[in-house]
Amino acid sequence: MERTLEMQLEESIHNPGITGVLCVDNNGLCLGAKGSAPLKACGSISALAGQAAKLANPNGPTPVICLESEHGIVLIKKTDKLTTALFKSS
Amino acid sequence: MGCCFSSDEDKVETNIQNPNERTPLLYPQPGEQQNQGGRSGPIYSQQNQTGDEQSEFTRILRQTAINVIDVTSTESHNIEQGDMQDRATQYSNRLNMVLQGSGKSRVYRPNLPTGITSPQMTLAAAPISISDVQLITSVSEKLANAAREIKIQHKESLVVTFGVP
Amino acid sequence: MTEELKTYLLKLMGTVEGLHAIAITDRDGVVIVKVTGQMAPDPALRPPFLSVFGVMAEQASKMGIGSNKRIINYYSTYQTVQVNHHPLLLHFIADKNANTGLILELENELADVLKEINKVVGMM
Repeated sequence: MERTLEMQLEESIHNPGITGVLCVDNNGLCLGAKGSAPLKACGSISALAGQAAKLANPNGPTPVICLESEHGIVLIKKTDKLTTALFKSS
Repeated sequence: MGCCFSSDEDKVETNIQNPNERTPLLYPQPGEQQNQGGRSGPIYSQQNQTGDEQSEFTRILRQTAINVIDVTSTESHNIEQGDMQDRATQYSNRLNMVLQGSGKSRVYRPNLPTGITSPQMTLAAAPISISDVQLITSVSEKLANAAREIKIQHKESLVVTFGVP
Repeated sequence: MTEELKTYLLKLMGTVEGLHAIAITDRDGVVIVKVTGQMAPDPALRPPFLSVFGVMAEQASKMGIGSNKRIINYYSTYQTVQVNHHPLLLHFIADKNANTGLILELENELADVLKEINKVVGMM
């Protein structure tokens, strides 16, 4: 059932520098998480992606959001039914 | 689907003149500890030797009633409109009292993170690399495809009939 | 003082797009405090609706998978998020497209307020 999703999450966490990965549905509910991803951020991540999508061209690709801080970055991207967040340490 | 031994029946047990499908067939022994509304735990009362079997039986019955999932009990739970009003007024008075007593002022502050100590460092840092953009794009694409494959697999029946011949 | 609490709740409500009402009740669904927006559906804030969750949570706790914490309902136009925060019940009424994750997160933000409202029920 969700085996493929689990496998993809596991695979993505092995990219260099990635400490956590989170995927959230359009209701802001967590579909899966691996590594040190803060589960309480699920709602915010999908809200953020939704707001950013409103700013971008509706016919073009969805924007990539990058939150920078001293300790690392968070990359967020929304596809039609899913929002993915990657936590990367610098 | 109802059940014969709803946990809420304890309150209406004097209503023997008009038995209906929800009237319990057995009543607890007088003087035995009442188990209100199915919310309390096991019974720890001292039981005398003679009524032991009977009281054990009622205990099992009641425990079963507590354990039975009875969605029909929603209606019997409703409180009188007047009682509700009274309680609501009482609550609002008490709430005022408690809030006044605490003396804390509640001013909404947005829950923002503390931020960073040296913004110039972060701002001066190189912009996000193209490889990161490619990484998130490919990962999100893969995950979206994987999520599309999620299908609920029917394993067993959600409603199980038991005790029905 | 209650007004101040209501203003606080209204501000909190404003942080989630599409959230129309927050109600805090006792386990029988008797309202202790509630705030509503203009779009709030009236039936979802009346006793018959609010009182059902307490009973349903109690029944759902008998499924053998622990006690029931939250029930989320999606309707054609609205969603309701109800949280069992013993001895209080929290009810959030929102648009069907509202961000459920953000609404669930409000429970944590309300923790402070709930601690005080707990005392109100404790007095009864």
